[in-house]
Amino acid sequence: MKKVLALTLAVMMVFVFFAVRPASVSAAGFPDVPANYWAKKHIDYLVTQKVIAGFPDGTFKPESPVTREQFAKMIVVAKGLSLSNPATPTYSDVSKSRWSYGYVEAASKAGYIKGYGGGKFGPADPITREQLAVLEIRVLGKEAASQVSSLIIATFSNDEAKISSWARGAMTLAVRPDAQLLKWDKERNIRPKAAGTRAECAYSIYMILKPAVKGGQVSIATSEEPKTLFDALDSSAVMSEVLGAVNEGASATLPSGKLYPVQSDYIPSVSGGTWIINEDGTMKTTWKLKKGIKWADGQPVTAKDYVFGWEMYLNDAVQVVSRDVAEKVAKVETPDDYTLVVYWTTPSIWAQYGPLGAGVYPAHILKPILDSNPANINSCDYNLNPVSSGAYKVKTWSPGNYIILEKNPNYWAGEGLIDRFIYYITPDTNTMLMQLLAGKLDMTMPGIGIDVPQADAAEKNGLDKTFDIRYVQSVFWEHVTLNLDDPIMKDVNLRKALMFALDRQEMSRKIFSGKRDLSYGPMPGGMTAFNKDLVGMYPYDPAKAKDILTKAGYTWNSSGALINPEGKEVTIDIEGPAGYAVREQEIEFMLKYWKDNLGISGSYKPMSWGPMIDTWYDGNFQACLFAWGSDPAGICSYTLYHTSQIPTEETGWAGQNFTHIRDAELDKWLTICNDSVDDAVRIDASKKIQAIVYDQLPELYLNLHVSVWAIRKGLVGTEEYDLNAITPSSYNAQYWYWEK
Amino acid sequence: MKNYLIRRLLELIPVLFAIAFVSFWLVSKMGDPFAALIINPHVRPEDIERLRHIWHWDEPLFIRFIYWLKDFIYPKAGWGLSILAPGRNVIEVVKSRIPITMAFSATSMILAVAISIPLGVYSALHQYSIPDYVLTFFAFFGMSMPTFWFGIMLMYLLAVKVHWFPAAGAHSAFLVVQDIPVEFSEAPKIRQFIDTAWHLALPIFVLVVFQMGAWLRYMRSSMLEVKHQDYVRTARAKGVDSRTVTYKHAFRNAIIPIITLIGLSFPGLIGGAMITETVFAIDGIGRLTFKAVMSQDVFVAMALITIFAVLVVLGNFIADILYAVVDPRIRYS
Amino acid sequence: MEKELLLEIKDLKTYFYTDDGIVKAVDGINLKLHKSEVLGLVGESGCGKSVASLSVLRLVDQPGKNAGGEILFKGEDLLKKSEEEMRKIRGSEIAMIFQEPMTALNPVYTIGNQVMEAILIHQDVNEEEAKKKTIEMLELVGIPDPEKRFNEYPHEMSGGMRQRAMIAMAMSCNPDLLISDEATTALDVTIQAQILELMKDLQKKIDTAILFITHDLALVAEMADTVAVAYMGKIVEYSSVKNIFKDPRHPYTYGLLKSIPSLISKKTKQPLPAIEGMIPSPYSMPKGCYFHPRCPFATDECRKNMPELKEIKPGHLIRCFHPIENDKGVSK
Repeated sequence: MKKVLALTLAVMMVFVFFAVRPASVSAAGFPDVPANYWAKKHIDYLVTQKVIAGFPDGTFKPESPVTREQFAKMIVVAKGLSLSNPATPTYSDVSKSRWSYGYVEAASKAGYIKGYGGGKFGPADPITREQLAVLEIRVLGKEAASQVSSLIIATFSNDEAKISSWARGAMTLAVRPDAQLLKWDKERNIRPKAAGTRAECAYSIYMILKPAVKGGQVSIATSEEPKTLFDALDSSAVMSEVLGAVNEGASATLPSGKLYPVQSDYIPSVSGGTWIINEDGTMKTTWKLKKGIKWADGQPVTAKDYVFGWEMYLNDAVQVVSRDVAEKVAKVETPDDYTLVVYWTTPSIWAQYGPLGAGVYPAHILKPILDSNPANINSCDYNLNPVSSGAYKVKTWSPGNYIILEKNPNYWAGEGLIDRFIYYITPDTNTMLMQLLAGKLDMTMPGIGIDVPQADAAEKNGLDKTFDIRYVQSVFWEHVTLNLDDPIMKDVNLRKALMFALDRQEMSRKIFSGKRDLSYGPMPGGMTAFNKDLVGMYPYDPAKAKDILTKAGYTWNSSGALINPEGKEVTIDIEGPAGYAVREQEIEFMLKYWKDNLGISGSYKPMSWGPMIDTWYDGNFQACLFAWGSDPAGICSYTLYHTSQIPTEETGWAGQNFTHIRDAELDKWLTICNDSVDDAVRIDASKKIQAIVYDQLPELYLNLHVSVWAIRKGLVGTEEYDLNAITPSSYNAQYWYWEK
Repeated sequence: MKNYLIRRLLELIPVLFAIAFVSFWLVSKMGDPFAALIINPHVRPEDIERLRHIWHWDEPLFIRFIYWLKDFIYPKAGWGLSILAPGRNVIEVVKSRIPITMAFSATSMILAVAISIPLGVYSALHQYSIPDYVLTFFAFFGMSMPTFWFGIMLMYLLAVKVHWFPAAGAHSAFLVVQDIPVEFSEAPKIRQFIDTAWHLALPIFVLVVFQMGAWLRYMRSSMLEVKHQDYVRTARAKGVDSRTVTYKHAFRNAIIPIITLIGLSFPGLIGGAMITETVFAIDGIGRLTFKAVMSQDVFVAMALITIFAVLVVLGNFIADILYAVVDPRIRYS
Repeated sequence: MEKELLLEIKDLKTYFYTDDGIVKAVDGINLKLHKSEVLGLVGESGCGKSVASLSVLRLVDQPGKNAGGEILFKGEDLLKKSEEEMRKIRGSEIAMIFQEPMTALNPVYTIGNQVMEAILIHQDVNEEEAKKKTIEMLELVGIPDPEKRFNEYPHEMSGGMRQRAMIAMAMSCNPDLLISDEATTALDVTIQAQILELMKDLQKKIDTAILFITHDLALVAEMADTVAVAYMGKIVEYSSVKNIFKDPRHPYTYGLLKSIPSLISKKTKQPLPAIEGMIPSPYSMPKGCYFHPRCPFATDECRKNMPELKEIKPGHLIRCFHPIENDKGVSK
């Protein structure tokens, strides 16, 4: 009997052991905090530090709001303060019997919380994000700094105006690189009045306990060298990358295309009254620049510098690469040194993207050169040693070898964390791979770094132990441009059949190790205006392809070749840029699919750029394999598809409608999109455009280019970048740091 | 002799003019350097016309050439503006790369020749011995090895597997001087020199191995030919010791064709080795030439082609003179 | 009076070990040369006389090797000496001049330099003195304006001048023996005569013995005291010059003499008697006497055995089973 009892007890104990598992024990355990949750690391850490715990049901509920007293507890525990138990409560609404008494008192004693005034604390109120900022700035001992009158208020958010006056300083400091207590949402709002969530609190307390580390350097290899660092005179990916955290303007865009203010207080908007569109199509925008911003040499940045930039762009002798936006500005007024009132001659979405369609340049350096002889601007020292106003400045450019960026000591929004960035110019990607394996580099950048084959080789060599090898989607969409004036290609049925007969997934698997996503038109999937309904419209279905053709009057002759309704044999001659091994593979696959599935014979003609482009302008081609890059702001693709954009001698060869598509419905939406300045209208029009284009198939959409971004483990701050668009990956480099 | 030199120099001028013109014509045939800009939707045809006009590209070929030639001879605008590097004129672009190219190419060539000559002599004197076979093997190995593969292999073995050498680049960005990282240009000259030498060690090795093969074979065969000449026999019959026979009598004659070959290799001092430079990320003249041609930077390409032409012609000229200097039979023809 | 024996070559053999076989270039040369004597060594091209002379100075290169015999110079076997010892002898005690003065002189050094070199190596004088001596030598060999010629290069001089310079070079250290290997063959007839005169002159002045190698019997008649006739690496007849010309005993020698064009044969317009046949390939020498395929007097014995070099008269050696008795015919 005793034995049975003992055995039963033992079994029960085992069961109990397995039944009750405190939610805090397994850090990898919260079902609602998945592995890629943005605050997973922070939540896990705080859980191990016992600052925060999960719920009895095993969840964490990261999105739940946090009350003020809950936060008081969190911060007291985090800072290791002992509970305080004074005889008299400090706040009338936090009595001694309240569970949070000890914590609230301790936090108050430490000077972290001060209450609403009038002796009230509001313990059960959700803590707003701006309150969070104020509190945490106090914890960091920066309260005085947040109230200094010379502090330039800047949160780089679209809702900055909504921040309460007493929290503006704290929020400014809270988003600075050394604090990084609050993050922005996808719309680049800082949401001061929203309730702080458990995840957000965990994140910010983490940043208090383990603040961003200052110092260190990042060694980067690039395969190209910029021709110049004077960004008006050239446009290249490497130049953008190097200047990502160096140049600043009134506004900036996230990789997804979202606009937000940087040196200005806001982005002009129709609703805000700062963007006025007149009936005759002219417009007026008003920008307000922040006061106190300085160039790296200490001189102030004012409206004069913005106006100068515009004047320089319009000067014929300056070899500025593109000034078509700047030319839309009729005139600009500067009622004071920090206000710009801009008058536009035509409606243009670009009016939001910058005051004057030109960059901002130090007038005190460049204006004398422009005045004496404008042509000298093209070769002046600024090309090698630009003077900028961003968080970093160009320290040294040793041509052919490296470019060194250093912290800008006069930066107005908080010093960057990394001491310096060194860009080593390494033309050969295999050499870059060697440097990575030898431990000489911390990073290679998307688009100008190692490519997919080297990334594969790196992984085989164990580089993934010390590096994160990320595949970032690019905005370049690989496609076959079809000439709709060609007698064979003019039939939409054939085009659809071609699309159904392609196994694009297989191509991606075989040629790109599955790393390239499919393309559904000119809009990459990661961009806000992407029309999700298009996914799945063209699965690999050779039977359907044949069906479409049969219904359209196509036949096959005795040798299996496809004959069109006019009795002509269908053949495809594809041209493409020479020298790309992967493109030759793509062609091989496509021709095989079309031959095997549809009986279409084809040929491939690699060409060099000049002659190939000539064929587009002459209309002298049938199909061309190519890739365009999408501009996040160019969600309309007007120049690609509008009938008026077919380049001819009469139009002065303007436009890029090389497919010669002429569709009235498409034209209508293209015009609406292009002329509108309302985001919602534009996005809606863009989606319709995408739908028509994907239906009519002036191009066969294959895949999206993918870029490799290799980052040494331990470098924090690069997670935000998920789309290799026009925004360089270094756009937020001042927030990067080496985590210990 | 002086008249001969002057005459030869004057003869060079029309040759160079012709080379420059033909090069200009060929480079122009590469295509319109401004055509590629049209792809950018923000760039309009007027912008391109504007740029074309600034560079005189809208003029006929010969006029364009004269503008270029005028600037080349009197470089007020510094040989034109480089499309590759808008901020600098061509002279600066080219000049900036001369030091590293000389350090790299010239050193390799000098080392290759300096090592090959004694080895070639040794090989010839000990024909068919084991060392001779070994050297011949290395000579052919070096000549056949593609530099891009050899370079990467060396890099992999000596820079990745063990860290004896840096993987690439002409010099470090920072040097540690007394425990403080100092930027390269601000470090003491001796440290700069050592750092650059350490960086160039592998690429120089690659080039030397590649070039050595040819020089070794030339020296060997020249020496072999001379070894059997009558005057060598006469010297021995006179009782001259074998060392003196080898160096005073045989070598002095064997070196004649080598010296003229050295003269002809003159352009190689600056020429650079494009592939090795690319692999080791050294921005020298070779790499610049490649970039200029690929990006249709007309002014840089022309400058480089002309410089090369000048060097080739000069090299021939020097070879002729050297030949006359070392071989008395040529002097009074 | 029997002069002092300077050089005695006993049964010298020098073979070339090639990939195609062994070439017995010198296959038993026997010579005796006395002080101040001129010995003419005659034979057709390829009979090994040059190799023999090079063997004396041990200048034969691979794949040639000494395969036996002795070379006694002043009583010492040269074949047993070390290279260093040989070096001291070359150019100072034994000197050699060659056939082609243009290629035998180094084109990149001046005449003066090359002549001086020998002096500087073997004599203990400084450069100034050596230069003086050189100019004296140049004058001695009949080169006009020697100070100027001192700084000239070989290609600036005529063939005759070059050969004189070569002789100057060879004689500069007063050698006991001068080997002249076809030294006049490449010169035209008038120059040839001058050079021969010079050689005779110097021979008396400096008291040098000369080993005069040639294929031209006429020159031998002029220059030599004794004559050795070589055929295929062996000496076939050896005697005083008078004997050789008046009383040739070996069929080969007889044939050689007969084939010299003379004024008589020109007048009588008789066809020039040539020796039948050609010299055999060095890789496949005939059995027995090497000459038998071309000898009108060959017998079975000649075809089977090699005759020894025997003295048939005092001072007249011959290697033949059937030496010719007299002018008229064969004696058995």
